[in-house]
Amino acid sequence: MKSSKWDDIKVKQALKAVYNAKENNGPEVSEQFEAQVMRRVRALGPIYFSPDYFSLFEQYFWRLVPVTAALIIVLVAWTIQFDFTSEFDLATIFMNNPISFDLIQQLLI
Amino acid sequence: MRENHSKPSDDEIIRRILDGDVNAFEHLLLKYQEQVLKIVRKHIPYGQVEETAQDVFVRAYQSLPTFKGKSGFLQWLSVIAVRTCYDFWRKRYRTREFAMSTLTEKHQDWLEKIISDQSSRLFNEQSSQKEAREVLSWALDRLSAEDRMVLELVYLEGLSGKEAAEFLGWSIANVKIRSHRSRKKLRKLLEKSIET
Repeated sequence: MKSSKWDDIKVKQALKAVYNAKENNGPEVSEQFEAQVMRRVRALGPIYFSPDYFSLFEQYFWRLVPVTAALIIVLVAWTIQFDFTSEFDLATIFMNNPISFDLIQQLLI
Repeated sequence: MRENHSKPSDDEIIRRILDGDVNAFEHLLLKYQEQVLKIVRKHIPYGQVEETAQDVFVRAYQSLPTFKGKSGFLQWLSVIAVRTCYDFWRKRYRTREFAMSTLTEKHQDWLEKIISDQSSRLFNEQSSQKEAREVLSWALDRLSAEDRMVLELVYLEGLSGKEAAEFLGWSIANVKIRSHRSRKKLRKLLEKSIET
């Protein structure tokens, strides 16, 4: 069979019509439908609302992400600007306590 | 007095269910049964509609504690219905339970006529509606569960990318990409079928 010129719009219209007709053309459910659903539901038993702490945390997680990211950037900038292990600070500490200073020096060597 | 005769609201029914009154669920079942069946009939073969619709309500019952009431119960239930249909196809494709039939000459003729000018007359014929349904089902069976669902929601139902994304729980970008690819696959399938 040779193909005619393909027409997207016509094919789409035809398939849409078929698809949408499925909604109303389908068979009705049996009379036992509701009874069967309720039987399955009753078999599950009562359900109670219990706060799911993980999902409560999840709700706020993404809201806190930009704040956390900003905080990390500020801390990194601060650390770079004010050297965390400044030699001057270390020297001041160890000058006041020469025993610890020696010990740390030994360890570092 | 009037309040005593009015039907309980969805929120009230849900509160009763969550307080342990299992039978109150029947109110929701009766109220939304038709809407759920309409969704399921569109996505699932007629033979499995009843069982899948039952699954939708059972899933809804189990998920009630997570219902927040932001967009209304019907919208929430519709999402569960679409996702249950999606799960049905995922399971079905995994086990490959569908028949890999080929299109008959009758089906090919129908497709040929659609492309030609006889399409409007053809829609009114009962026999051609049957063929049309079979062609659609044949083509969709050859797509993955993901392609099938996105094609049905976006291409055939005309939902926006955002709406489809909400129903399927995907990102909008994923829906757009999938939708484009699945449309191309469908076209290729149908074109191939009438060329042979």
